[in-house]
Amino acid sequence: MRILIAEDDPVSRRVLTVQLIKWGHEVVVTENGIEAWETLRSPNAPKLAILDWMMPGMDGVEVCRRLRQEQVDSPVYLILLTALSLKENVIAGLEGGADDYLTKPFDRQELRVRVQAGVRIVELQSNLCERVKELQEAVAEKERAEEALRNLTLTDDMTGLYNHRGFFTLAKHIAKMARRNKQNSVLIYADMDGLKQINDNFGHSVGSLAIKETAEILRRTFRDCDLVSRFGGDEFVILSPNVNETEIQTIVQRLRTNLDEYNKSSEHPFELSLSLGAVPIDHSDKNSFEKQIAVADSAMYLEKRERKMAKELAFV
Amino acid sequence: MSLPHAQKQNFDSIPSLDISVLHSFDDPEMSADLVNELIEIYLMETTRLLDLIQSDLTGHEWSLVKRNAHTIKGSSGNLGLLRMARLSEELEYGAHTQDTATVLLDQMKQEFEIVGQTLNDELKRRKQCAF
Repeated sequence: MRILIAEDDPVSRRVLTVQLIKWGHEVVVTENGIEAWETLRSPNAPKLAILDWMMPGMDGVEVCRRLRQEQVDSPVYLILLTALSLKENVIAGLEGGADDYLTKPFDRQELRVRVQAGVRIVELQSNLCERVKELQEAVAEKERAEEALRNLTLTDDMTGLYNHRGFFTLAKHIAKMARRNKQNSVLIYADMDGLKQINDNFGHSVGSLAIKETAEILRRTFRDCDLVSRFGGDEFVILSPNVNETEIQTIVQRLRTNLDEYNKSSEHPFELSLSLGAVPIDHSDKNSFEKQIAVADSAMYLEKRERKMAKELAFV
Repeated sequence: MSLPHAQKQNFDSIPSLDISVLHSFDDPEMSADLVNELIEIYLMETTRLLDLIQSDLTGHEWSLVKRNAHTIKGSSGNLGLLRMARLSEELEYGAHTQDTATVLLDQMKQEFEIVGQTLNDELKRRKQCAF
């Protein structure tokens, strides 16, 4: 193991160096506290250090104290070397952050076993660190996989309807079928009215409930073969294949009726209402869905404005 | 120099050198020249430190005097130079006046003469043995 020695007395320094090398360690030698502190903070610093207590510039205890103030993954194991064998000095040293101490002139057998103990702890610590890193990587990998999976998912978690991605994936297929069978479709853009007020008045959990209930009504109103999706927030987009322009009003009316019935029988503190924009899609239409959705969105917006004005007029 | 004589303590009862400490470095697995090397480092370093202590004492730099006495204590202890270690410990902790410190420093210098002689003899003996 690489071990740092910080000792200003050249005799002690030499004895320590020779001893540690003899025991198979690699030795980094420093002659004062500042040098030791800087070396121990550098990248790939030794993980075990033997620090003399009394050194010019910065003493060993101060080095311990400063090192302990820094947050590191695997802290360095610090052995204080001291001629001060008084109990209070030992306590002060350990309180300063040293892991162990040796009194000078040191007994070589004692040095050997204390270094051994340090090596053991450093190795355990580094194994633990590696294990923690492995676990962190595994967790990150799992999160990445989940994120990838979420990006692949076609349905909306909250309502179980198709999501934005699900809509486009399936709509393309439905459009191909419609073109082939020369069937017209209808695209409906539906936007909830007053979700903000519901959130503001009753909180977001009630707001979420309103979204879920709306989704449920949409599911009930449309056919199994219709593509009902939630684009996010309070916006829904529905593609109904095999619907002629003349039938659009019937569908819209059915939806309105279902909403009214819900509001009459519901025990929830809110009323559900949707602004709708419905556009017919001819089977020969070559426009993209993005463009057709934009048209439906504008139609919905116009309706929303009209409904708002009508509501305001009703209050006058 | 005419210094008012402080009470001179007697450290003669402490052996100058515990030779077994030096011998303990004669480990066949260790560098064969380690003892020679340590002796050479010690003699050079202690000469330097004693000079420093002398000038710091004159300059009343007490903390530096204590620091360097501490270092001599450590290195002497490492080589089994018991009396030198004890004298420097006394200078580090027990010298409360300029006078007692000056007397102790003189004693350390005298002891260093003896230690130097012993260690140099040891060096010679070892170098002869090596051939």
